[in-house]
Amino acid sequence: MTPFRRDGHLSDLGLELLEAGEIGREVVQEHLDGCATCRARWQALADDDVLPLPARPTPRPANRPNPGWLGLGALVALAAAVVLVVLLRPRPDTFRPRGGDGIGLEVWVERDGRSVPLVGGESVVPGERLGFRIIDPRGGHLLVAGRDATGAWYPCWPPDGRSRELGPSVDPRQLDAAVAFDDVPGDEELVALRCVRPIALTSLPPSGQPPEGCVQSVVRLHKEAP
Amino acid sequence: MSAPDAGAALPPVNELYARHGRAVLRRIRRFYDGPEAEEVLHEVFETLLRHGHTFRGEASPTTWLYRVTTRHCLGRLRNERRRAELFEQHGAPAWAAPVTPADQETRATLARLWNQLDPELLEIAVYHWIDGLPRDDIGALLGVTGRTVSNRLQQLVKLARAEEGA
Repeated sequence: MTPFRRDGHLSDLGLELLEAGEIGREVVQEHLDGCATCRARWQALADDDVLPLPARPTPRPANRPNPGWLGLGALVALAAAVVLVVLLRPRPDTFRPRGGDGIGLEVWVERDGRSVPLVGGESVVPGERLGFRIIDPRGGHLLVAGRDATGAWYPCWPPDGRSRELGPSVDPRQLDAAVAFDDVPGDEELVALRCVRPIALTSLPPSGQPPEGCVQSVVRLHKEAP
Repeated sequence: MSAPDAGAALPPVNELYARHGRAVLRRIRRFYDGPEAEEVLHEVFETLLRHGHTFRGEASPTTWLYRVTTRHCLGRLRNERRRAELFEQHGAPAWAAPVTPADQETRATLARLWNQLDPELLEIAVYHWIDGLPRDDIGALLGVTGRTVSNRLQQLVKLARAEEGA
């Protein structure tokens, strides 16, 4: 068996074998080095693997009631799985679960020379540099902005604070900009907006609600005092 | 990928659960989400506790559990005939995210054939079209040759065409 799919990417099973130590890292290292998608999948799996399990199962009485015959939905469930290319649902507040119309924001921070994904609620410090990735299966006018504890908006991407039109993409897309935190302490929000029309930072409402015609994904962080 | 020793034994179920439980849960989340996924996790291990297991050492524990879990989920789905929102509401978890889009024809084929397929054929369909595994690897999972898998896939295509013509 190989750990790869027919399309050359790592299979789910390949990732599990890697995580279980049943194949060596060297077998997949070259692919991981060159494939951001599989690196993100591998990271998500590794993050999941440290979470606690539910209590161990114990035998229960047999003949539990069957949920019943509810219709012909199962076939569609399987088919739906095939088209879930666009519906990545990763770590809480890192990727956001989305319907077909949603958008996902992934925030990375540079620490000790490495880029690591930030989880919502995590603490950050002034001066830390951030990077962003977007999953947007629909496409539109995209703007990523931050809002500090005073309620002031600042641009993240594009740097001029005006949205840029991007096409749809089923893969996470790296944005070609990075920002560093200033020294205003407190709660901080990073917001990705995808709108049907162009939008600018200056038109963002103070409420934090998405403007009309926009969908958004928010990652909330806490910035410590310098 | 190294093959395990023939005749190797699995650890006790509790140890198996501690070591591989999260991997099993991740596989289940291909089919179920939320609390129901944990319910299915318990079902899988309950089955192992109650009935023992069929591990013969011809595959690695991870590979074997992958197949056991897949079969359990597919059997459960067939019996329940669940609603379509299952995946549409929840999406696929990140580690399981497909990396290339499946074509509309594949989607339509599976949708049409779901409740007509025998369990093995359905399992092959999932490994081939959803998991994207090579035919030889599907054969290794099922204990058949890649040629047999090819024949079964051709059978699936014929079924789909017959369905189209019906």
